[in-house]
Amino acid sequence: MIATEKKVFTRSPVLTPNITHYCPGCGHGIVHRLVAEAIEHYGIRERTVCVAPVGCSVLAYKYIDIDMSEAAHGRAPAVATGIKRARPDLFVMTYQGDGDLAAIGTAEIVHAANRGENISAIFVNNAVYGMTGGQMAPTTILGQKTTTTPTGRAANEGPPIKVCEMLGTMDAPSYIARVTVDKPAAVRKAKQAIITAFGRQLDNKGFSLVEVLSPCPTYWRLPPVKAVKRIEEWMVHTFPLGVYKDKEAENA
Amino acid sequence: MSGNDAVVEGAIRAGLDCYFGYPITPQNEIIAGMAARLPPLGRVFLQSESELAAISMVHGAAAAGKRAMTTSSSPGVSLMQEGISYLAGSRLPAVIVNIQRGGPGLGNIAPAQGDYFQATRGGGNGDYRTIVLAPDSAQEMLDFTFEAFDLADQYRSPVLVLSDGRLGQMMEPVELRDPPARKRVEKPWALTGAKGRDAFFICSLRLPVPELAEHNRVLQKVYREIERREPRAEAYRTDDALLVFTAYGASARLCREAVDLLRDEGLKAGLLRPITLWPFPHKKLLASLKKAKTLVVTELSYGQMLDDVRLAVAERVPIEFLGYAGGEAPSIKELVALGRKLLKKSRRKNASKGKRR
Amino acid sequence: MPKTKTRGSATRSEATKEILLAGSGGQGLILAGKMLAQAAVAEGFNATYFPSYGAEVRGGTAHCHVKVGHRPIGSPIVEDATIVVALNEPSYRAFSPLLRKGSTLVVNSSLVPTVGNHPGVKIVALELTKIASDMGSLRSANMLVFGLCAGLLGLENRELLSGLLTDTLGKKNPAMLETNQQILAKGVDLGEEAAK
Repeated sequence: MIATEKKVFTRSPVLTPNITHYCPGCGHGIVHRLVAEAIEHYGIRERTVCVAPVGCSVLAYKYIDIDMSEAAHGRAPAVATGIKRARPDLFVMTYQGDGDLAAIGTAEIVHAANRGENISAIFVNNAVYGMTGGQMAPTTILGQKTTTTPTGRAANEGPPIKVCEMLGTMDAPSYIARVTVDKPAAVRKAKQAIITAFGRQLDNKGFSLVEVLSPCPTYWRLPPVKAVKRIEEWMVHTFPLGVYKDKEAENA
Repeated sequence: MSGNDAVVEGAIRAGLDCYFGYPITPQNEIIAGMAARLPPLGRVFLQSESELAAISMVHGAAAAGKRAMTTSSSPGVSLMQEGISYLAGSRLPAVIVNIQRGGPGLGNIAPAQGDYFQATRGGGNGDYRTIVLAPDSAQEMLDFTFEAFDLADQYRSPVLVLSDGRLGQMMEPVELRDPPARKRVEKPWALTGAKGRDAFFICSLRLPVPELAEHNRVLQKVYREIERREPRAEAYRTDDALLVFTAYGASARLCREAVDLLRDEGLKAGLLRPITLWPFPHKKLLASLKKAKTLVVTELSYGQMLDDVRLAVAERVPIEFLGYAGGEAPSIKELVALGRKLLKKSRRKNASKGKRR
Repeated sequence: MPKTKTRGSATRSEATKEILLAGSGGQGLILAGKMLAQAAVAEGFNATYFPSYGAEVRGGTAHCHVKVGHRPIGSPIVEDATIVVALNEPSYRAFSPLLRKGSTLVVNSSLVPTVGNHPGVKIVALELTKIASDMGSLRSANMLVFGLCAGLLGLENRELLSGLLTDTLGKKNPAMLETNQQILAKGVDLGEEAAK
């Protein structure tokens, strides 16, 4: 913990005191905190169940103090569907990375969204597979070097999949937004988006997803500060921030 | 009532809360039956986008403490192996019904028994087993589906009902009944929101070596207990049988009819029908062979259950094997003719033995 | 529903009756076979019914196997047919090999004009489609077949058969129920006559 001269926030009680295993400069820690704060905001910790992904954040259960279930790689939306249908009174969310949600789990997220399943998905997009060692992700940007695209992602590997744009075309989802956590103002916006998304489920409005563009200094091969700057310089051109679907606004 | 409809009936009677499934022939009557019957009862029916999703939805509902099931046929059950391994690793109770069809691959939609290894050896990755119940009539499709839920809860394990297209599609009389139920167990481990307790994490993931090693020891202990308590078989006219057929499911029905016809001819034939394929009823099989000179193993596959029979019997009795695939099955006549031939052969052998002495 | 027979009693020695019904998809033989099995169960027999189930949903050849007997039934598949019903030419060609000495072949001579030589087989050639059509419902040839098979098998409790028909079709098609009842009764008459 960095000692601070001025206390700017209180650690959410929804977080455990454990120190995360994430690399320095990784975005997961911030996103975990925002999720915990949104749960605290609504006072729903005691009826929340989160489905963890396979990927770096598979250990999220150590850091967020809520009931959690594992899912096979990509199947978190299906497991969440099972929980929510079995117990509609619970607040059910998934926390997934880009490989999990947009490659092996494309079918599950598309169909959960299309059913308007009353769950919330937090989608952390860092454009690379982290846990397995920096391979190409479905969201890897054209030209980006990874261990499986050593000369940069080429056209015949396909351009990155834009999840918000894709799910935003559907009729059923209630709220789809893309945010980032590269600076304090962005973090505040991200928290607001997560609060909005969770609120949709609590109001029984159906499916919501917040995509968070997040830095991976380790596999972007950059120091943390440069990695954070890279989001604005490079990532948001491919993945523009914004709200891609807001049924409440459409209805208003 | 068809065997498939009987599965629906048995599951509903057992208190099935949530059904998730994906269409595949020859089990579509089950998914349609669930769709028609569950929602009016206030229970959950959902058609998933794939078998992968279906079994994961079962995982979710089971983790929430509900009675959950899915049904499919061979290629679909292959896709579900991922989820079944996770269920076993996470110690979640669930019921999976496989109405087997011809394989490998897409194969065909004719009845077959080619998924025996997959069902009895775990099927997915990792060192686990699932209880496998093998019905041989529409009545047992109801009864065993019902019992599968109790077994799953009792051992916190996925339970398979292994049937096939013939039993699924065939109609015969079924008594709509509740088989004897076991004690309904509490599920204090279920995910309900961490209210007044520590947060739970239901998972198969155990990264530290000692943790996963210990978890496997716990699983093995459960499997040993199942092996001790649950093997089941039906011995039919085996007491004085010189020739014993052994077969499960649809094959067993054929053998039973053949046994009766051989008995009509005064020939001493019997049938030992494994009801649990895992745990395999080794002792019951051996007990049925007291007088036997020959054992005939019949499957709609090419020697899968045969392995378990050999493990149980070793060299004690000569084994004849009849295998079929692709939807072919032995005719009753074929079985009777074989039985007749083998019984006469053993009689001749005995006679010549006597002479030599 | 009556109780299932206890397994393995195997005391009655009458052979199990094996009936194969075949026609083109839409002729309704799947339903006729199912009702035949139900009627047998209601009369205290063991019975199985096994439909052909194919990838095609409409058209093509549809057939089903019905077995009726006192003993437990192992295989639901017809091996040695007691009765083969062929409502069209392809069905006749496909299933006549199941005929044995003592079998009965029921052919719809409206659609199967020539029947080959089957030694020892009783051939009941009737214009089934035409009879049904003359009685007011071309599509009810299947009920004629249901009655005919019941008659041939000696399932002669007419009240039971007609009750089964009412249960099965009464709600679906009440306007045609009376016609169907007449056709069923005619079928039983024809079956009893053929059985003599």
